[in-house]
Amino acid sequence: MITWQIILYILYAGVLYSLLVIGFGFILRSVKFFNVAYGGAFLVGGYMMFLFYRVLVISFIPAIFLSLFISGLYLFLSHKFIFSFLINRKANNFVLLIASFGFLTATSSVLGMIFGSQATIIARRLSDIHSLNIFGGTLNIVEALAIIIIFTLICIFAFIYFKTHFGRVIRAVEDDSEVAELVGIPKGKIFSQLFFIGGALAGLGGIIQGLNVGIVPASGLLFMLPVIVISVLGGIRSFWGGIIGAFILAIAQKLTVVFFGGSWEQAVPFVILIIVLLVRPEGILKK
Amino acid sequence: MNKTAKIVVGIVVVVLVIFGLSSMSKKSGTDSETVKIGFMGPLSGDTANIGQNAQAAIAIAVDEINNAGGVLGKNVEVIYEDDGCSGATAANAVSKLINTDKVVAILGAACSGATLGAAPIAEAAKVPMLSYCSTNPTVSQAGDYIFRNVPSDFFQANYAANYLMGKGMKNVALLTSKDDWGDGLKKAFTDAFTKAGGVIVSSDSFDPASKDLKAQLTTIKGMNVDAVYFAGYTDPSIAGLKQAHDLGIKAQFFGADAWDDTKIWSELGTLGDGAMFTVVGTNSSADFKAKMKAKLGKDDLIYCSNYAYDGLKILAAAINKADSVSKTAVKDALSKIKYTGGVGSAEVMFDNNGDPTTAAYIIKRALGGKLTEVSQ
Repeated sequence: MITWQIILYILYAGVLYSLLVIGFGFILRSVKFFNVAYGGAFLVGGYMMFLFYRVLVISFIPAIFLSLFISGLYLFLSHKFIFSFLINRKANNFVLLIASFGFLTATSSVLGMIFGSQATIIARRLSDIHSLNIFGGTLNIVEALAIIIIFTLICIFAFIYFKTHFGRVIRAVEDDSEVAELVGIPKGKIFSQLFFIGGALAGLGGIIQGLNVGIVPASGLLFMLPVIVISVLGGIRSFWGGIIGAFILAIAQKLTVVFFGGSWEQAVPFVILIIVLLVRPEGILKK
Repeated sequence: MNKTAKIVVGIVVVVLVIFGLSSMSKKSGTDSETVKIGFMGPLSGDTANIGQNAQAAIAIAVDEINNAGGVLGKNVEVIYEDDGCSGATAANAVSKLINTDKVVAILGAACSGATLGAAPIAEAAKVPMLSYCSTNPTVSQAGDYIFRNVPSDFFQANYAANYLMGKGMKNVALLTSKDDWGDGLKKAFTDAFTKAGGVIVSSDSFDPASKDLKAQLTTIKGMNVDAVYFAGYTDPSIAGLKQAHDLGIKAQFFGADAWDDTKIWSELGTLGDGAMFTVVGTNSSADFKAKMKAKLGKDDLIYCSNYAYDGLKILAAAINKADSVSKTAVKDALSKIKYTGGVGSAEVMFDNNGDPTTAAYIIKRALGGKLTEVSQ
């Protein structure tokens, strides 16, 4: 029973990390820097959902789409007004990283001032998030739906990425954005689109987290750390590597809690990061 | 930079310098006219509601003291510092209060970790410090200048352990916050419960910033315990009790004083039904609740705020009794004080450790999002 329950929880944690790492990966592979502002889109998604669904009492589905649009827009605008300038000026990756970090910090401070620094719970009543019995194990409705929706999204994005024209364009930009530009691919436009898609994916993560256990302004950074570790772990150049990395981290974290106790859970990503950097710095899946 | 821009920047700089100088001189002018008391508490972060609530209670106390003639014929001024509930931040905050603001005494901190981080600095500088909410047992040994008007967790954990044993719950799992407060409760509860003949089936902890206790709770579910002693602050407690409900854990959930926060129970609603916790019985009157409501615009009184309100009045009384702003004299006055009629407890006296001599606990139970006192 316990084993099955832990497997279900690992599955949930794994898909949530996968969702975040897909969006993060699109941005990372194209602009080639760790865009920590991605965590800001996670927060914006969650808090906008809180605003629309719980404060303004808009019904569930429209509220989700509105929030996803705004979180996408958030990252899109961050690119348009900050990062594209820096990239055009040939700022090095370190400058971009610091800029994105500053952007995340500013975002979480502003959200903290508006919504308070305590956990914000999106559900109107926590008892609405009822639990389901799954072959003897338990998941609540948010976790179960998240697993289904994210699996679908992974398939859709894998299809787009590997099978469509747009996917080929993305891969070309990822491969070498300068050469891609030479053959007539509008680099800036593709970057903008990827930032929007990435922002919406991060926003969905924030919504799921906020519905399930609530988000705090610090969650942005708290989630960025494992996402960065996963990207390095799976191989930052690979789509599937990120997803494999997500599940490895989820398994490692949950098993650590079961065998060694909860106080070690936050340390696991970093132990894994150090081991990977020592043993296989290029990640599990090379391109 | 062209000429106009230079002129604009120049003007801005001059204005700022004049503004800065004038505000500084104003500050030094008021120095001798007020008695400064420092405040430390979490004004940001997960536990911000504790600090902000206490701040409101202290503002009420300051008004009352000043309207009644102040201290040593001067007005009391409280300097508020944020400690973010962490020892490192509290150490900075206490240094700032002592060295920059030159406070006579300090009211704080709320979180045990913060108090323990600040205590060595206050002790070295010989500034009396009175905590209004830190319940970790080790605060007793923090130093001669460190006082608190809220009782040690040693009594709280003891009370909880004996209550559970009295109800025939002999197998208990521990789930405690991984910080000074949680560790203190864990140790005190384990000692008291095993001494009373109970069995601690498992002992696990969680990161205070974490809101995912699912793996810990799954392990607990497999153990068939009678009760879970769950010591967490507001956010992990909401998440943990919800996840325990998801998992269908039937054991009695028993918490500590941090659960005396209405946010937990209003968010959980019926999901929190049956959960119980110990909290120091306060003397809090309807009168004080009404004052807090007037101050905050809503019904919100965290139990620490009762002690914060009393704490400021105790410090004021000690300064009056010492009849000077000498920190050593204030400390001596504090250790001999007998303060009555407070909203936290009816009577406060300090023992040699700076702990209150009396501690009266009550147990509260949640039902439908509301708390009721359990009669014993």
